[in-house]
Amino acid sequence: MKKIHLVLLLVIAASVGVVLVALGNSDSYASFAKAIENPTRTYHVAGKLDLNAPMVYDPHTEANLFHFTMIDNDGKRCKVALHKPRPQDFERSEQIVVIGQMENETFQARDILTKCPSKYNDAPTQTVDL
Amino acid sequence: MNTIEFINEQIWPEYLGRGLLILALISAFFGAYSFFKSILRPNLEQSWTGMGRLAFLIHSSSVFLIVALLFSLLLSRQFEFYYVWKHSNTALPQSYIFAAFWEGQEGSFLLWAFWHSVLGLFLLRNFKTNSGVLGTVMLVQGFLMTMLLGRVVFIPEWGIDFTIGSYPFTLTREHPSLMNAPFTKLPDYLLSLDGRGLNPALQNYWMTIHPPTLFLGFALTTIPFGFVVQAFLRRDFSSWFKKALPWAFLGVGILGAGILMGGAWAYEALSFGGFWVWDPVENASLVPWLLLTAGAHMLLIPKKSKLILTLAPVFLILGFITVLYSTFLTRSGVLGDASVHSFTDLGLTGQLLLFLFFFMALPVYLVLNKRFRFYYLSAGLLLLVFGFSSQFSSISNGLWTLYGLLSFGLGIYGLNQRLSPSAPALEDNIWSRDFWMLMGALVLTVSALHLTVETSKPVINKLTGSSMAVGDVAAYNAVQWWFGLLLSIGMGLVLYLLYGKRNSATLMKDLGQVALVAFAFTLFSYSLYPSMKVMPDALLLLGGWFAAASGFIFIRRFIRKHPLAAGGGIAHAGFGLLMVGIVISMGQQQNVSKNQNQINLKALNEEFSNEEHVMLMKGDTVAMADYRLVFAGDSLDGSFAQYQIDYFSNQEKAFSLTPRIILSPSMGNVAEPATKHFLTHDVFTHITYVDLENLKRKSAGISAPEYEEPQHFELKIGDTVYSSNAYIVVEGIASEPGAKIDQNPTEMQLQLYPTFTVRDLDGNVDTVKPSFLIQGLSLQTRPDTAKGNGLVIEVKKINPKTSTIEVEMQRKKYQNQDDFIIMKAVVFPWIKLLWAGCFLVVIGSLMAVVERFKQHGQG
Repeated sequence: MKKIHLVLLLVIAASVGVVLVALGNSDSYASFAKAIENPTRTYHVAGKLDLNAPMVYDPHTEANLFHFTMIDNDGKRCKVALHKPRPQDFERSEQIVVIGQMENETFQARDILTKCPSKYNDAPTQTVDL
Repeated sequence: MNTIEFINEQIWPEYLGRGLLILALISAFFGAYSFFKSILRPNLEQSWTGMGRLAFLIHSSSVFLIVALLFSLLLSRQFEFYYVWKHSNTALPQSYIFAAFWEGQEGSFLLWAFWHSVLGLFLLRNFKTNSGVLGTVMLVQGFLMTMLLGRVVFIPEWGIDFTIGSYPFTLTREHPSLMNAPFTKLPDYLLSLDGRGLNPALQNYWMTIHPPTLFLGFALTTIPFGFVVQAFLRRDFSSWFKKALPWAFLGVGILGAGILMGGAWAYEALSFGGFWVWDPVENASLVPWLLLTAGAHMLLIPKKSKLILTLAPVFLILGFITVLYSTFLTRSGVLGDASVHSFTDLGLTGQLLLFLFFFMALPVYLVLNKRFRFYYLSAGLLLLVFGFSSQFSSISNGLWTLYGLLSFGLGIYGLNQRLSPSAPALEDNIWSRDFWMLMGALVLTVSALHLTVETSKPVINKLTGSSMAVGDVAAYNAVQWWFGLLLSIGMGLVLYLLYGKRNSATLMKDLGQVALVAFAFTLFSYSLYPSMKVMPDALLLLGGWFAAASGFIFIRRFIRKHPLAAGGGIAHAGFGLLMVGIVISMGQQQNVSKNQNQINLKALNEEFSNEEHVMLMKGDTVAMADYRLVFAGDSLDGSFAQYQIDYFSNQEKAFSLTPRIILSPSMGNVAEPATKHFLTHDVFTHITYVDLENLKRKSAGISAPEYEEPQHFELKIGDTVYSSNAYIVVEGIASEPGAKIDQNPTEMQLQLYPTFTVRDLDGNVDTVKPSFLIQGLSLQTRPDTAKGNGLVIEVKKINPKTSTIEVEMQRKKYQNQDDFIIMKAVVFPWIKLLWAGCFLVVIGSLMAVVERFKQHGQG
């Protein structure tokens, strides 16, 4: 049974390794304040769109750049430069998560996740139009 | 109380549904009890199995009737029922009623229960030999029925207030979210009530075929689990292998097909831009498949050593448990931001956890000896009470996790104690089929472990207070490609090995032949794509071709003698092709290249430069691979905004694609890609962003506004803002000489010229001086225009206190400025190999099932 024991040991080592890799190489959710502290690290920042601040999307110049302002869950406001096209129906999104890093007081976002209130199942419906 | 007579309302289905549900619930638990009792009391086996059989028939009939009832309510659009109101409307074509049925959680639980009932009917044919399996199925059904109960438990003295399950036949006017809506008090509300409707993104045939296949796959993981439970109850740890085997491979085939359909849906109809993005919901169905596949292969090994006798049940139990865990992940709302398409919370979290923990503990309990059983059960119950009474505090969550991990160890320990010491030792020969099958199963398990940990990050965050984000596609690929490589090599090798020993000279000859073919194909495909990276792409390509070549050569040899025995070869060849397809179609995909007219933005960080999406004005042309694309025009057709893209090849129009946006004011607009399929490649086209208002205006015959939306800024001298394609610097405020600043404010005259420099990205530099004139008490402002850029700046207000100025900027639009699309187009080379590979894996697994059923008769 020697070889099998060796194999089982290897499998256990691989399992531990895989768990460590998954947990160790993780990006984290953070606030803008934390992203400002560590400008070189990639963070996921969740928050809301600031509808009062200007949203600038000028695809005629650059289709893959969209500027807007976001308020994170701690209430801090920050400019975001999203390096992707403006998401369709962006102003309707209820919650957004931007993924990227802070640079010169602007959060440079590589990617964005938006959740519209009723895009998928089961948003609470309060009123019904008749 | 409620004395209003509601016109046209039919509420009897609410009572009928309730009755059937309670009948199904009671008969499920009673049936489970009877079947288990028949094993524990062999002297009364006859009567208990008879009872169980009767209970099963009552149960499955009730389930079928509940399903039929909900279908008939949906078909006749009886909006007095909340589920019907929420998932359908009058405009919904009848063909999407299936989709509406399982769009919600209640419907999908019912779908799952339906498949268990159907599968149970097959097992019922030998209900005496399958009593433990049927008991397990009934027990699972009992738990599923509680998910549909919709009973409020409210004992204020104990602080208990929760709802068990979500009832599918709740009346619309009695649903908590609508109870206070004024219309529910109108006697004639039904005359004008229309449903909310089915999300247009789900109105396609994928939504009709994908969920039932997937849930049949989920239901099929219950059967091998049931065989394990039965084996543990009967203390017969090896004879069940043969009977469980075809069921396990049926699960591998069907669940595989379900996952494949999910990937195809994502590729064809959703905007994922690929067939697999490691979304938590995708992983949630892949992990059970990996474990079930590992377990099913353990059942194939004829020499039942202690290790195999332990691993086979462990893998099959985990296969079923991970289905329950997936259910918990996707339906409890715990995934939150991590996935775009998880269900939201129906308040069933506690119940789902209970479901999971019960079936995790059951097999462990069964293998423990009497004394351990007592401690194990007491600890579980104590934790349960503690968890609920402390409202799932972090301590109780921690203890639950510990209990779960401990169960795993205890279960393996207990099982090992039970196994007969006379079980044969494992063949310690690395050139045996047993050894490589075991290796493969272990690789599958480690792969499943990685996916589980990665997908569980939101759960780990909840437990430990950490804030880890789920990994992106690159993070998954970086680990998972190793497993793909190891599996490919193992799958290629194992076909040529025998259980036990094989003559090494002929083996080397066979393998040499396979390796030669694999190398030839790898070199050929590599030469087509010389830019391919060696690690991991080319290496995985070699692995894939090795598995494929091995499988096909194997089939060629055996297909004549044993047509069905070739199943394994076909499945392994399919896996190889799948790997080849992934490497080539994903690694060598070509994106549409940027329009030449556009300006390269120097101000941007290179690291972030993203050229995947390009802007096209109507009539513009861009290049991609061997094509030139032209944006030919847009149109509005009912609730579809359509954008026609013409593809030219060698100056001739080759084909047109019409990606569209499905417009839904209530559920959000959804982009739907369009794909042209060729044997050698697919051309995928997807609209990322358009000005929908522009299209709506045009269709209504309204001309576009002359100016862009004005933007407002509050600025200080020296500030820079970015607006409408330009950087604007506030240089200062010049005042005209001859200002009269008088004591008498009505006599005052002050002419100011705030000065701006507008530097746009086309290279125009303009100085803009809007006028700001104070004359007595009145204020006159006049905008000024940047000649090159067309930006109009007007200063609305000057605040001396904060030394800021309030500025409005807007730019005159140029002709047809809004007639543009932002799109993404990709050529996926040889993606057909990928689908062919998936298809062969499914077909091969199903062939193995047919073969086994033929060999052993009915399960």
